[in-house]
Amino acid sequence: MPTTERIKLLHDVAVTRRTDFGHGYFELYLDAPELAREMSAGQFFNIRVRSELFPLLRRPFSSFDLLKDARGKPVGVSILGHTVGQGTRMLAGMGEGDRIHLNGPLGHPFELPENPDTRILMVGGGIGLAPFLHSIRQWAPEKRDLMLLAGGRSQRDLGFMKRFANSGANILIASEDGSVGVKGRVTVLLEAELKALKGKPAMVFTCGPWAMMDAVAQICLQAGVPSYASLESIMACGYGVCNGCVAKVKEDNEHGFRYAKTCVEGTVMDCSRLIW
Amino acid sequence: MALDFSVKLGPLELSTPLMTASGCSGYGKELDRYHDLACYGALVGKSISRKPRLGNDYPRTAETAAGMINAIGLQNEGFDAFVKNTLPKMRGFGPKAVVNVVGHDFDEYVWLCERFDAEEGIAALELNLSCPNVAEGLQFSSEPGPCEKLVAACRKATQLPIIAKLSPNVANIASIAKAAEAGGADAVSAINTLVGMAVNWRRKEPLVANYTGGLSGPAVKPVALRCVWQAANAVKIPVIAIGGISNADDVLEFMVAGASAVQLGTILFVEPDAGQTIYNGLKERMLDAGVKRIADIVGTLKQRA
Ligand SMILES: Cc1cc2nc3c(=O)[nH]c(=O)nc-3n(C[C@H](O)[C@H](O)[C@H](O)COP(=O)(O)OP(=O)(O)OC[C@H]3O[C@@H](n4cnc5c(N)ncnc54)[C@H](O)[C@@H]3O)c2cc1C
Ligand SMILES: Cc1cc2nc3c(=O)[nH]c(=O)nc-3n(C[C@H](O)[C@H](O)[C@H](O)COP(=O)(O)O)c2cc1C
Ligand code: FES
Repeated sequence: MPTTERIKLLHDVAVTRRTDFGHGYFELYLDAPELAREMSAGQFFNIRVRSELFPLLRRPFSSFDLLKDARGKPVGVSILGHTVGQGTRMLAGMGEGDRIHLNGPLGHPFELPENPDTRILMVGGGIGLAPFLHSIRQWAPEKRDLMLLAGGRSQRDLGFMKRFANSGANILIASEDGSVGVKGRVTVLLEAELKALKGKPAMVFTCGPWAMMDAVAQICLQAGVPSYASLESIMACGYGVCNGCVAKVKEDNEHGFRYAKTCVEGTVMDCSRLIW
Repeated sequence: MALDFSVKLGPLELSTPLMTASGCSGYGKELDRYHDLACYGALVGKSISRKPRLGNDYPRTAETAAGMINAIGLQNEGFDAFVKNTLPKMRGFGPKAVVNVVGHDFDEYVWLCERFDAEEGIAALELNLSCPNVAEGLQFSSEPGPCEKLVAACRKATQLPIIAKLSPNVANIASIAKAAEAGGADAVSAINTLVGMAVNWRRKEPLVANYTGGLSGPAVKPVALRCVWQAANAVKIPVIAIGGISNADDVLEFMVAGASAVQLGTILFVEPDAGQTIYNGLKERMLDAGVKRIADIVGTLKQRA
């Protein structure tokens, strides 16, 4: 009784290469042509690190780069990883020939406004910059006005930024210790950029630590600029069956909000609809 | 060899012994994106209460060794919205639709049984007697008297087959299974999650906002197997096994220990197509062992001399 259009969501893929950026940051290149064709910027997949049931759950990751062959045909995606626990440590030890299992594409992508003159401001913090390389790869060919504001604690946390070179966006960097780019928080860059718009239409996409996205959302709400955050909640399933990954969304009920499953309603959410 | 997967749970006949577990499979829509659901005899939806429930604060889940803890807080859309928007779809995926109900109190369970009795296309009701994340459910799952009284009242309220879902967080699960049987349940299912906890010592915080939550996944399988075996030895009605089931061998272990059917829970988070994989695995195992009817292996655990 097929009631649904089914696309292939479960992929057994090979790692083709690993690059290390130092300080726990790494990139894994994946041989996954189907995913490369299906994924849109802002979507994620859920990685099963090994076939045993320990660690049990999958780990959610954004697609970092969209890999193409010499003729421009999509051949795979990469992930940008940061080692924080057992799952990411296992991924960080992988290399050519290792296999991982992906569930995806999952979630809703970033959606560009219709007006092609809108300035797209991407505001990322640390590992939260991962979805924006794919975004730039996807949007630059459409001749969009793209600007990436990248924040991190220090240069050590932004070693992967060299992968954004010549990608087709203007890039500004801020680091809290001033070791790279402007000294300070990325929100300082955002405030300056919003002032410099002088009436030009703009849209903001943000991904990173909750406190950073909260600050970005408040600045954008005040400035009247539409903003969307890609939320990275703790997930058990990643595809809508467990009710774990929730965020508070404003709702006209006795509580003033409801809990929305970010893995299916997001992970990209309208900042003005969220309770921060 | 033609294999027979059908099983009978009292009045409830299923084409295969595989079911989904409540709260781990939504109401079918998401799983259906992965494969045709014909491998399942029935889908069990997430618990439904009379009124919508908001659920607990975030974070709600945490991974543990070969398992996980959840404190979702029974978030659901409530009876009215479920019947209007979700139940019609849930009936359309192929497998039978089992509705899992949960109440704050005695009257809410009875109300739900009465109301669902009037709805079309429901194969059975599963009573969630045992959710550890809300205080009210507890006495129905831990004391034989209240359990029997509640099941008996639900029995009066509906013609639908009733499955009483038992908690492992009790001293003597056999006595609760007997109470459910005496109250008129057509089957019991076991287990719901074990109350557990996870802590981050550096942040000095619990990993789920509710402090405690329900442990599930492969880590709980031995406890579930013990509970199913004890329940099956105590009652004449069929027992449905739940708890850490992750592959075809797990299914057969539970069936040998006395389960007539099984439910897949946490494994679906890892393998959304687990039902299909396990169904294929069961076929292989049955051919291998010369078992034609899967029902024939139920309760075949040997008595030690
Ligand atoms: C939509 C989404 C996209 C993401 N994209 C990336 C990415 O591109 N690159 C990257 O390095 N990280 C990304 N993350 C975070 C990444 O999933 C976690 O860092 C990772 O799961 C940690 O696993 P671990 O086993 O190393 O850590 P552990 O702490 O051992 O993990 C224990 C459990 O907690 C979960 N968990 C821990 N930290 C997080 C977190 N920050 N977010 C969600 N779940 C967490 C794990 O999945 C696991 O179930 C993303 C998260 C989400 C939700
Ligand atoms: C995230 C999550 C939500 C659950 N929600 C419910 C629920 O609403 N009602 C219920 O009766 N059981 C619920 N359960 C319990 C499962 O149905 C099952 O009994 C338990 O998880 C053990 O099986 P497993 O180890 O295969 O997951 C839930 C379990 C999980 C992990
Ligand atoms: S992670 Fe399970 S519903 Fe979103």
